[in-house]
Amino acid sequence: MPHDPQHDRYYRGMVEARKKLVTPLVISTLVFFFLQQILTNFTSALDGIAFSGMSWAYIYAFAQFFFVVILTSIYRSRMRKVEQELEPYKPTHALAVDGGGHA
Amino acid sequence: VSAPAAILFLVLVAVTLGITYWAGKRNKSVESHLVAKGAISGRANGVAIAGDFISAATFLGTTGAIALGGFNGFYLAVYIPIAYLLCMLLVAEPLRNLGKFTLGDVLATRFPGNNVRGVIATASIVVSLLYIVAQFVGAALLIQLLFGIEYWIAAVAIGVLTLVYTLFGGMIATTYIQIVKTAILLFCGALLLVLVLSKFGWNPMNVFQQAAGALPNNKAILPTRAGTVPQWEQFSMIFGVTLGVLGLPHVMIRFLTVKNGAEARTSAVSAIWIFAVFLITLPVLSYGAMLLVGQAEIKKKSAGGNLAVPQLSNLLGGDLLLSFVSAVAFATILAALSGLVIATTGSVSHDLYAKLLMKGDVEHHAQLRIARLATVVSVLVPALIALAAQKQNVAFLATLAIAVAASSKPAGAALHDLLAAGHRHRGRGGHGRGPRDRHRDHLHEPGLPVGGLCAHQAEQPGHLLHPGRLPRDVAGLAGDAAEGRGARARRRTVRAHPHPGGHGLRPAGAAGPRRGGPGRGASGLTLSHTVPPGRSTRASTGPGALGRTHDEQFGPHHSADEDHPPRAHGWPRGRIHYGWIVAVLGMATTFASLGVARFSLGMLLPAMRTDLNLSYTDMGLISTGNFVGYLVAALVCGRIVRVFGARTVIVGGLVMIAVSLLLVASASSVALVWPFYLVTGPRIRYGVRRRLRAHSALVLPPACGAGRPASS
Repeated sequence: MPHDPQHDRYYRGMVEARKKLVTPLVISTLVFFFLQQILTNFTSALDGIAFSGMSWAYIYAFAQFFFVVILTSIYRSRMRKVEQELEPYKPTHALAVDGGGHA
Repeated sequence: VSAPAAILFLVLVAVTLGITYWAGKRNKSVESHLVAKGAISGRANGVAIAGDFISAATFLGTTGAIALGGFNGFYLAVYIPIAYLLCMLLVAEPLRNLGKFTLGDVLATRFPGNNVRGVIATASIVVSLLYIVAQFVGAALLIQLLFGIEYWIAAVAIGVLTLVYTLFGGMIATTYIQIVKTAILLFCGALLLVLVLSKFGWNPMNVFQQAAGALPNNKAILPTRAGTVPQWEQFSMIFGVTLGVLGLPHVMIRFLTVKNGAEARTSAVSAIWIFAVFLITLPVLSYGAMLLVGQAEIKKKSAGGNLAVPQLSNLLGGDLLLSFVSAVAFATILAALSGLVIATTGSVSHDLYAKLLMKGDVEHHAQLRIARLATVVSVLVPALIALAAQKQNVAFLATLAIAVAASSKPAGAALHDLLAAGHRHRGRGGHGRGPRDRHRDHLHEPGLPVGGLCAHQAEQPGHLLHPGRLPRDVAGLAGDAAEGRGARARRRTVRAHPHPGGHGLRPAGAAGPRRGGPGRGASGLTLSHTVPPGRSTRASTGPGALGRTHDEQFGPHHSADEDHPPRAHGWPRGRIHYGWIVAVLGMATTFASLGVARFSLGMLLPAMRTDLNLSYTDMGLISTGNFVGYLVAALVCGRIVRVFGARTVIVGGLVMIAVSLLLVASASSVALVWPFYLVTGPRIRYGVRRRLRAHSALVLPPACGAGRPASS
C-alpha cells in the first residue's frame, strides 16, 4: 500500500484533537470529583443547608451529574466536528482508520 | 412464592431463553461468542454497558445505603458516571481501535511478546472470578430471601441459567439480555419514583425536606465523618472503585462489541446518560423508603438495607410490584453474571489458550470448543466457591473484586512496560536479532500500516489517546531499536531526511538507513509496500479493518489470531528476562545516586558536625554546595548526555559519586567538604536525568524516539 499523506493528516488531526480535548477534560473531572470527596470526607465545608431540605453536599453531588453530562456533550460534539473536518482526508481503503477486529 | 411472582419470573426466564435461542443460531464462531462479531450498535451497547453496572448491588445496595446511612450512601452512586466519563475519555475508543477480544489484545498490539498478555489475562480471570463469586453469593442470598428457598438451590438455579445463556447464546445473548434487563430496570425505577412522589405531593424536594427532619441535626442529608481512619477508608474505597471500573474486564470488553471507535464513543455517551438519569433519582427512592418503610423495618429485614427497595415496592404496589422488582433484581444478576462469564471465557480461550499455549496456531473450531469449555468452567468454579462462601459479606467480595481490578491492570501495564523496556534496552545494544526474528518480521509485514503511525506515536506518548488503530507496527518499532542505532545516529538521520510531506510528519521508513535493507523489521513506508503474492492487504489481520467482511478479516477458518506480534529481540527464551536486569540496575543506580550521594548527607551531617566541629552555617553551606552542583547539572546535563550518550554519562556519574564521596570522607575541613559535595551534586543530577530518560523509554516505543532529540 503506498504511503498516503492524507492518511497521515487524518491520524494527526485526530491525535491532536483528542490530545487537546482529553487532557483538560480528564483533569477537570478528577479535580471536580475528588474535591467533593475531600470536602465532604475531611472538612465541614459542605455541611450547611443551602435551602429547605437540601444540603450543599447534595447540591455538589447532583452538580456532578450535570457536570458529567455537559463534559460528555462537549467531548462528543467536538470529536464529531473534528471528524467532519477531517472527513475529506479519511482514508477510504480497507486498512482505514477505524480499527478493529470486526467487520 | 406468590402467583404473580411465579408468573413474572417464568415470563422473564422464558424471554431470556427465547433471546438465547435466537442468539444461539447466530453464535457459531469465536468472534460471535466473545464479542458478538462487533455487530452491536453504539446505542444498544451503551444500554448494555449501563445494565452491566447498574447491578443488584447498585439498585438494591445503594438505595439501602442511603436509606440507612444518609448522604454517605450516595457516594456509591456518584462515582459511577465519573468513572464512565473517564472511561470514555481514556479507554473506550482506543480500546476498541486496538482490541479484538480481550484487554490482552490491546497490549499485544502495542508491545511484542506474550508476557504481559499472560499477566493481564490472569488478572482479568482473577478479577472476573472474584466478581462472579460476589454476584453468585449476592444473587443466591437475594433469591433465598425473596422466595424462602435454600441457599444452594438458589445458587444452582442461577448457575444453570447463566450457563445456558452464555454457553449457547454467547455475547450476543448476553448483550440483548442485558438490554432487556436495563429497560425493565429503568421502567421499574421510574414506576417506583412516580409512586414515591405521589406520596409527597409530586415534589422531590418534599422528600428531602421530610428526610432532613426525620433525623436530628439534618443527619440524613448531611455528610457524616466517623473519624480519621473511616474517612480515609471511605476516600480510598471511592478512589479505588472509580479507577477500578477502568479495569473491569466485563465492562471493558463491551467496547469490543461495536464496529469502530466512534461507536464505542456513542456507547459510552449512552451509558453515561442512563447512569445520570437513573442514579440521580436514587436519593428520592431511598428517602422514600426511609420515610415510608422506616429505618427500623429496613434493618429488621436486612442489616445492610439491601431489601429497602423490595420493601418499598411491597408497600406501594403490593405483591405485584414486589414480584416485579424481584424479577428485575433477578434479571440484573443473571445479566451481570453472563457478562462476567464471557469476559473470563475470552481471557481463557483467547489469551491463555490461543495465544500463550498454542502461540496463535489454533484452528477456529478448536478455539470455539475451548471457549465453550471455558464458559462451563467459568460458571461451575465460582458456583462451587459461592456455595462455600455463603457466610461471606457480599459487599466485601464485590469491593474486593473492584479493588483487585484497580490494582492489577496498572500493575500489569507497569510490568509490561518494564518487560518491554528490556526488549528495547537489549536492542539498543545492537544484540540479538537473529534470522528468526527477521523472518517473523517479514511474516507480519503485510499487516503493517503506512508510515504515519510511527510519527504519531512519536508525537503522542500517551498511546491510549490514539484515536486510530495502533497495529502491529509495534513489532517493527521495537525492531528499530534492535538494530542498535545510537541516539546521535538517529538524530543525524532525521536531520538528513526531513519529512517530505510538508505537515511535519515523518514517514516511519525515513527514520534512517536500515541495515537489512528496505522492509526489515520496521513499521516504515517501505514495509507497507511488501505484500506477498496472493494475499491482499484487505485480508490482512491487522487491527483496523473498516469495511472488511468477517472472512476477510479473520479468514474463513481462522481464529483471528494471526497478529501474533513477533519478538523484537534475541534475548534467549528460558533465561532471566532482560527487563529484570534493567530493573535491578536501575534500582542500583537510584540507590547510588539518590540514596548514597544525596540523601545520606542528612545522616552524615551530625557526625561531620562532631568530627569537624561544624556550625549550622557550615552545614548549610555543604548542603547548598550539593544543590548548586545539582542546579548546574540540571541546566547542562541534557546536552552532555546528548553528546556523550546516556550510558557513558551515567557510568561516569557513578564513578564521580564514588570518588567525590571518598574525598569527602578524607576531608579535614569544611573548605574541602564543600567543593567535594559540589562535585557530587551533578553526579546525582545525571543519575536522576538518566532514570527519567529510562522511564520515558519505558513509555515510548523505541523507534518513536528516532525522530526525537536524544536528550533526556
